[in-house]
Amino acid sequence: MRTSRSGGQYNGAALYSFLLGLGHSEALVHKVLQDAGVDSIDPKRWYDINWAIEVYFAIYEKIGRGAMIAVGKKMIETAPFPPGLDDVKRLLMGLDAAYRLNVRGGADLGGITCEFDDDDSARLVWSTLGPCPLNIGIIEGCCSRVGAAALVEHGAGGCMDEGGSSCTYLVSF
Amino acid sequence: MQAAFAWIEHERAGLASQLAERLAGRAGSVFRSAGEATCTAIAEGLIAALIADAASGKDAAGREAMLALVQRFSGALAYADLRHLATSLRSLVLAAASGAEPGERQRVEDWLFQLVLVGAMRFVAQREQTFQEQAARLEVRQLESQLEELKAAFAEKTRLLEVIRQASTPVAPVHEGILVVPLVGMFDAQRAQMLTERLLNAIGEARASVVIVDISGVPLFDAEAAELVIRTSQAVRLLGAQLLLVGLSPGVAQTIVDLGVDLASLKTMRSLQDGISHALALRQLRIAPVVNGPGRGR
Repeated sequence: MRTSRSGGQYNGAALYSFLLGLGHSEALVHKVLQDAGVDSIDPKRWYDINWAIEVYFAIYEKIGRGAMIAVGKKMIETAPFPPGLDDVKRLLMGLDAAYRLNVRGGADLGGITCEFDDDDSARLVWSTLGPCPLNIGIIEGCCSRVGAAALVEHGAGGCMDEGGSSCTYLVSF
Repeated sequence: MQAAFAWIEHERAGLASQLAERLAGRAGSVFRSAGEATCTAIAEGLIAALIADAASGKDAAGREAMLALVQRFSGALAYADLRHLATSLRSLVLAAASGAEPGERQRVEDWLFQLVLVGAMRFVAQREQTFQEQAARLEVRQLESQLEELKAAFAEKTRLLEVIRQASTPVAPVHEGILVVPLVGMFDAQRAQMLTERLLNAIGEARASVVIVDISGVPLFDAEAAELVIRTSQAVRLLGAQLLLVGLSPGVAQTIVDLGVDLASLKTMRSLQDGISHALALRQLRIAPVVNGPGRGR
């Protein structure tokens, strides 16, 4: 797990929405939060980003890759979005801005770049701090939200969960 | 007059180097990770296959090159990589073929189409195989995990059974020289062995001369159980003590008779009370009422 050394913070609302995405796994959420030293997440406050990312990874460890992708997807499918974000390209391009709305105060919090190879494929490079499968779920959620049947593949060149500095996702839609 | 497809040979070096450059230039692609030399080899192989197939009028070389490519990057190749390769090759080759005869151009289009089909087919087959291997590994992991759980459950069950056996074979000294063993539950060979061991120790420790084994709590007392008690009785006798078998219900007695089991070597009695009376008598003792009338005793 990569960490921030610059004391960044993470938006409680994002973490709260992720936990909501877990739906029926209330006991699991309760256990993980208890282990992390809290009873619940306050969507209105900001948390230490390393602590928040640890919560993500603790849940990832318990539910596995497939479920983590599903939760990320559900999070985006149900999240409120500003009007006008109604096609897959705009959604993918807007991921970096969305990420920056949920982190603050650190210089090493990473970001998301998105490049389109053509009308039907994109390449996203993520250097954020969360688990890799959650990112895949978020991308899949962006595509399915606008009805795009997309294929999201992890590109070569390393994975953040295995010590890499970034993850590249190849999206075909 | 120019030979058929002469333009491909003419453009060969340029096509290969441009294709290699595109393959190596795409961030996150498996080709870039493999390095420039690999990209050059792949590009040169594909252009060579195109030339060979153009000359032969078949698709065999292209097919072989694509199969080898998918095989080479087994498991790591993404659909996006395949797509990038196909679109890059197509755009470069068609650009080079812009001045070619329409028939040759069409032939190249067909060849590219076949190349995509073969690549997609092999890609899907490869991925299917990967999924199957992953599923098999997952199943094995699940089975191993279930096996571990079963082993743990079995060990716990064995431990509990041992506790129950220990607890259900008590040896109680009821009077000097007299031991009572109330048996409860199934009486099998393992339990008989445990009973014999405990009994022999207890006889030595208590210097007992009579052992009363009460089987009224044994639900099934068959020929095998009777044999086991007889053996225990023989062992008890070797220590100079006598075993009394009590608690035989009419049903058990009938069963023993029906089975033809000879219990002549055992002293049997109907109830524990009878057994205790007999044991006391053997030790020349008896239970007498405490006389506590007016003016007598306390």
